[in-house]
Amino acid sequence: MDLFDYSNAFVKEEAKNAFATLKVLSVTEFNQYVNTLITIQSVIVEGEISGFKIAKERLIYFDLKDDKSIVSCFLFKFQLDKMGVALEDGMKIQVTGLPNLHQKGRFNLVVELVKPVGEGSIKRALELLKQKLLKQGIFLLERKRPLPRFPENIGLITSSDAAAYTDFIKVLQHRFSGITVYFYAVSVQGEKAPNEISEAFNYFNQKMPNLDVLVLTRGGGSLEDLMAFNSETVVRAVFGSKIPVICAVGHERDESLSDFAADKRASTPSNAAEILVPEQSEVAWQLNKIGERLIYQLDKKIKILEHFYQSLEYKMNLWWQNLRQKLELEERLLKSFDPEAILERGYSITIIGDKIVKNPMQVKKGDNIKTKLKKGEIESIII
Amino acid sequence: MTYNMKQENTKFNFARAMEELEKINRWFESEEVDLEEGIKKFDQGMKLIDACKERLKQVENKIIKIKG
Repeated sequence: MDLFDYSNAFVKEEAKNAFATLKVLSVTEFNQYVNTLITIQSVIVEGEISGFKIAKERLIYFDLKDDKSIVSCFLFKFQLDKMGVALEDGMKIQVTGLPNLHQKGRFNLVVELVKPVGEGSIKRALELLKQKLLKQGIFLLERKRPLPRFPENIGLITSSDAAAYTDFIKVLQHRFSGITVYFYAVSVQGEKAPNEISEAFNYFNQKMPNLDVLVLTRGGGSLEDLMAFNSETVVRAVFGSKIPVICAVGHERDESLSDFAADKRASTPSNAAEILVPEQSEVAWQLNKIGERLIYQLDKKIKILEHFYQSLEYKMNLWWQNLRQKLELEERLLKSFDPEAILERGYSITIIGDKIVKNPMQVKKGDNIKTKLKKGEIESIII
Repeated sequence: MTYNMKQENTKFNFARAMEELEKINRWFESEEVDLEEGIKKFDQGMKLIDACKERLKQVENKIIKIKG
């Protein structure tokens, strides 16, 4: 501050004085003095990158040039990582930074912010970032979670004045109702957008982890307008969300890195609503079908049982008839052996003691025998 | 805070009801024949269908602003 005050005094009061009155400065004082003149405010410089190099994994140097001139630029690697911008030679960028004269006399621009400009550079930077994130597994299909079939609590992240908000809400309402939408308004373009979107994701994940799904959306725009959705900050927020995410950025053919990091990509805000919820009438129709099917199923079960009992009854009858027939047969057979039946026909049976006489040798003179007739018996003595 | 997640979560859950209905239908398609259980499941299914239809009668979506 001393130096600054001194220099101001120097400029205002002594600059107009004669050369003889000029104070003699040391080299250090001179460099410091120059710095006070040139570091008053940040500047934005546009040019093409050349000689891009990373030193010791943490310092980044490159030159910014146009047709005639060249200026050295410096920043830390963590700054670039945080910005989520990937740079390479030949890329056209805008650098926001402070001019600085180093103690050793080297002049450079100390970079605060880097922004690729022109479609070619933006696309190239995007491609580089995409490759980097791809290597980190952020776009892996295996980690995509299924969205709930009937979400009832939805977290919506978009801008409140955007057509995206209106479109999404309108289509949602048109298709399904009884849903609660928790709306977190954010900027969807400009420098503040990535951090605001990231904060929204944090909020929902921490405060409302039971939400069924998060919707990140915005309408169409130029590639530059959509850049927030290509920033590493937003991509990581989408990737890190514990609540499943559906992402819908821009029009049909627009694609953002956030789309690829999300569990599901929708082409437009309206399409996001279409993917999220079914048509109410369709569900009602399905419910009727399920009801009909249930009735049919129960009826079928009853019929199967009826059939089972009928066939059981039939089998039992059959078994019973068989049994009865067999019994009758046995009975007839048995009856044919009945000795009474023989007597009926005029035959007789002769018994000695308790044995039937079948042979004259069984009896001798003086034995008592009994002869059974149809009616009564005759007792005789062998003579 | 203008919302009450707990209240939202304790109300009838449509997704779960639909899942339950599909489970009942699958049960009916299985081979076993148990009429008593079948009648129980049928009643349960019909109640779920009624509840789902009741839920479909809601006409509005609610929007709660967290920020903005």
